[in-house]
Parts: sequence; structure tokens; C-alpha cells
Amino acid sequence: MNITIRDVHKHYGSFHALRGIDLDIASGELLALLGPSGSGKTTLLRAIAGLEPLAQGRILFGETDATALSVQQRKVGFVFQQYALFKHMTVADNIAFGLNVRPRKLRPNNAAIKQRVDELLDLVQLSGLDQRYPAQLSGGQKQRVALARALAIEPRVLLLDEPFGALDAKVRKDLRRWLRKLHRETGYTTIFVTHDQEEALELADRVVVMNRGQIEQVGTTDEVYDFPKTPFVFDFLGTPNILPGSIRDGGIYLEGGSQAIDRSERPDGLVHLYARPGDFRVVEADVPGLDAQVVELQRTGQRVRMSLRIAGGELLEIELPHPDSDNKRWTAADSIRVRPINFSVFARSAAPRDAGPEPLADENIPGSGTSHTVAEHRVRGRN
Amino acid sequence: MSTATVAINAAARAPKRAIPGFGTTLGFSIFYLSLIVLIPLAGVFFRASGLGLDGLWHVLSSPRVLHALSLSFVAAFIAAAINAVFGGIVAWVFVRYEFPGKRLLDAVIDLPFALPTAVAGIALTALYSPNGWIGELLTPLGIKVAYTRLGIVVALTFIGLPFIVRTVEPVLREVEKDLEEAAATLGAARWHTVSRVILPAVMPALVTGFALAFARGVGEYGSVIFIAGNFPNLTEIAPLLITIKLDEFDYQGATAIAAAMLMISFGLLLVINLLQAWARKRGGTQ
Repeated sequence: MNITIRDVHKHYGSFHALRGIDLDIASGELLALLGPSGSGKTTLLRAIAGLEPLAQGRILFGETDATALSVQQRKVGFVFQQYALFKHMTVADNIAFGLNVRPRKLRPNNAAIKQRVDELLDLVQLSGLDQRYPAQLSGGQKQRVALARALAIEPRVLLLDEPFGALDAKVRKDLRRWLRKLHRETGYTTIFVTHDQEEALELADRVVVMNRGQIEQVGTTDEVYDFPKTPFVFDFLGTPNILPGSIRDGGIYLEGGSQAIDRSERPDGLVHLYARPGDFRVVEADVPGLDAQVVELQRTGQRVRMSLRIAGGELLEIELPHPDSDNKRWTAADSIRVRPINFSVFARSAAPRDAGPEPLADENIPGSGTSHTVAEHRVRGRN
Repeated sequence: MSTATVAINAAARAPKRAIPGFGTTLGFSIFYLSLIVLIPLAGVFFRASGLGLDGLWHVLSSPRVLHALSLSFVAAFIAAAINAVFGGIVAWVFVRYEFPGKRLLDAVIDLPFALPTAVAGIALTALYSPNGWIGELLTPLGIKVAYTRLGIVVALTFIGLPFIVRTVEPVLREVEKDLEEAAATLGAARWHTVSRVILPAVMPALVTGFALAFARGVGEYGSVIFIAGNFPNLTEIAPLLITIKLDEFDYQGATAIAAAMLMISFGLLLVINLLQAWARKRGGTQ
């Protein structure tokens, strides 16, 4: 079922937890709400479930206005971070709970309930554990029971609040893959909350990046990763280098560099250039770039992470293939000239990370650097 | 040579428990329980046994004693049951809601613990006597509290309240809000959430509180004797009867009643404990 969210506001006392959220969620979509703690992502999820009354705004399930519906009437499947299983009930009773509490005339008969429970146990790969109690299950198993319980009521939408947050790394990875498969098989519209960018990018069709009660960017995983609209999004999805620079006469100049590293349509002014460690290349002396000195190296298999000190004294973190195509092996104190090839440019404001919802960037130049005649010291994928 | 000795020592030490001191603490516990609880109780039985079985039977089968015993246990049971319901609600309110004066009310809950029971008895009697503040209102309705069995239940309810509230409160606090929300998203009406999710979770604590309040009610003396009126075969409780027997220098008769109370209490508390173990096992918390 598609979900439409319009101008949703939520206050906790004087704290403005949601500030005008507009969002359209397509039927059958797997959507991630991503953001740091306090960004309002969980509040939004709970508002969709009806667990948080709204001060303002509307939430539609299909054509139905859900805002006026109680939690019970909304028929959403909600999975909690801490499982929230009923400890005194067996796994089977937990899963059947949503069916057992229906009014008599809507309740399936016992045989039908049992069959449904068996199907769901099968789906979450826990057949044979139906008579266990939650205390006898591992964390990953508990969360799968919680999911089966949520699915038992054939929800209009499946809502997951940091579903893997309480699990260890290995189980989390397995469950992620499994959830992705489950989503493909069942096709439920699914919204999950996470603060883990890797989880969001790996699992979701689309990602909603939230900050301070507002949506910073909505897009496919590729879009938000490759074309971050705001400094916040760029910063949150990875750890970028932030280089001061300026735009003069249609060229982008980095501080400490005399040649423009790229063209720009932007008006002249001070900017910040955001580039991820992997988006730098080593270049020859006659190519625009930054001169730097290697301060520290760390080899990680076929790549090397380097800390460079650039002319201004600032540190730059880059990551290169190692050894590179010329079989060059870098060592500390080497002189090096690097050039960012994928980057975003944002106008320099007083507080760049506190940027509002309006995108400050009017320019994203992913890959555009490579179109130049850059004598690159590289270009080789892994292996 | 020395390495061999070390190896042997290590082997000898190996089977010991990871948490040391089991023997010492168990020994101390048994000693302490014996000194404080078991020996005095054994004294009761020893004293009572002087009567012989026939004598014992003679004392216990007298209508006055039988009536006093049944009154004590039934009144304590009813009072504990009332407290289980309303004390449970009080605990719920304290855990779930914030309201002005909460801290003050919270302290008030414990007053029955601290108040000398005779003071409670006198205060209750003053309130519920036909010309007291509450008795005045009840008398026109034909309800008599002071000097009736109802009065005994009122006194025992007063005494037992903190037991329920204080045992249920922490457990209720542990029941995550998530559970209620989960039940609601699954379509459970409020009533279903309470009866199928919250109540089973706090049941063991409720039973414990009930057992404590009940046990206290059975042994309660001070607050009851003022409000009960103490008419033999009507509102005379077993602990009072014991005192009366002592006043008459009938020590063996007194200990016979005491022994009977002990046996019944022990039996009931044992049943409650077993019930609880069963409930806990069912809850999967073990």
C-alpha cells in the first residue's frame, strides 16, 4: 500500500521533533529512514504507526486518511528494536497474538490460525521452535519471531524500528540479507529506521536522510551516495575531506592551488569542496592538484590509506590502490600531488553542517573530473 | 618436583566453583534461620505437644477456637485479595503517570508499615464507628463497619496495602512500554492488552504481594482488636484468642492455637510459592 505523508509536525514540549515532513512512499517499496539520533526518524516511523499523535499534518494509507485511525485500526506491522516479544507466551502464541485478539466474528478458527503460524514460522525459518519461549531464543531468532508476529496480521505496511540494532555484527549482516530476500518474496511496503548508513545503502530501494526533524534528501541509494544534496548528507554518508576553496571566473580553485581543478557554472564566491578518501588520484606536476607530503600510511590489503599534509598545513585523508599501476609504493615523507576526481561543491556558510533543508549545493560533479585530460597516475580497478 | 606439586594442587583446586563461599554462606544462612526463625517456632510446637494429641484436639475443636481461626484466615484472605486488585491499580498509577503530589502520595503508601498498629486501629475505629466521619455516612445505608467482621477486613486491608504496591511496582516498571505498543499495533483492544500482556507479566509479583499481605493479615493483632469489638464467636480473631488464653495462664492452649496457625500458614504459603514457581517457569524467566 502506498503511503502519503503531508506536512507532518510533532512537538515534545518545546522540542520540535518533526518539522513539516512531506514524503511519498510507493507500494511495495523498501525504504530506509536514515539519520543521527534525534533526527526524528523514529518519531516519523511511530507517527505512521499511530503510536505518536500528531500536532499537524496528514498521513494517508492509499486513499484512506490514517490520521484519524487508532493504532489498532491502522493494521501496521511494527517491529521494535528490543523485540518486545510477550515473554509468557510461546513462539506460536506470540505469532498468533494478532489473530487471537480479533473480535470473534473476524477471528479465523483454531486450525486456520495454526496453519498461518506454521506458514510464518516456515517463512522466518524457525520451524520446530513453535513451543519455545522467547527467553530460550537467540537475539536473531527473537527478531525473526517479532517479524513473523507483525506479518501475521497481513499488515498494510511493515515498520521496523532499528530492527538489527540490538544484534551483533555477524547476525546483523545475515539478517539484512535475509530481510532483503523476504521483502522480495512478500512484497510488503516496508519502512525501516537506521542510523547505520551502510545498512541503509545495502538494504533499501530508497533512502530518506533526516536531520533535525527535517528531510535532507530522498533518493535511491545511488542518488544519495553519489549526488548528496547537502553538506549534511555528504557528511553523514561517509567521512569526506572538506577542502576550502573558491570559485573565480567559472573555475574551481582550491586554497593553495593556483590552477583551477575544474569548471563551474556557479557564481564567484567562497566554497567548500567535499570529497571522499577514495575519490582522489595521484597526478603529475603539470596537472592541477594539491601538493602534499605523506604523513602516515596504512596498508589494508590492496589499498592504502594515507594521511597527507597539504600546503596550508591541513590533513587530507585519501585512499589509493596499492601498489598502483606504475608499481609505485608510497612511503612516509614522500611528496605527492593529488587531485579530487569526484566531489561536491557547497557554498561556504557560517556553519556548513547546520544547513537547513534547502540544498545549498547547486552543483554536483561526480566523475566530471575524469572527463578532463588528467594525466592520471592510476586508473585501475581492484585487480 | 615442584612443578608436579603445583600441578597436583591445581588439579585439587580445579573442581571448586567459580563463585567461592557457597559452603560458608549456606552454613551461615541455615544457622541464622535456625536461630531467628526455626528454634522459636519449634518451641511453639514443643510447648503445644505437652497437651498430647487428645488435648490438642480438644483445644482446637472448640467452636470458639475454630471460629477464631477461620475468621483470621478468611478475613486475611479477603483483605489480601482486595489489596491485590486495588493495590495493583495504585502501583500502576504510580509507575505510569506523573501527577502533582506524587512523591507525597508515594510516602503515604508506606505509612501502614511505619505506624504502630494500635494507632492505626484506634484511628480506624474512630473513623468507622457509627458517629465517626465515615461511619456517619455508612450507618444510614445500613452498613456497619466498626465492631463487625467487615471492620476486621478494613483494618487488614489498611495494613496490607504497602505489601502489594511495593512488590508490584518494580515489576510493573520492568514491563516495557514496547509490549503494550506491540499489542496495540497487532490490533489488541486495551482490555486484551491488560489481560493478556500486562497482567501475566506482573502476576508473579502480584502473587508474592498477596502472600505477604495475607501472612501479615493472619498475624495482625494491634489494629484489629480495636475495630473488631472482639465478640467471641463473632469478631474474635485467633491472635487475640491466644492472648486471652495467655492471660488465663493457659499456656498450652495458647501454643496449641499458635501451632495450628503456623501449620495452616505454612501450608498456604507453600502452595503460593509453588504456584509462583510454576508461573515463573511458564513465563520462561528461568
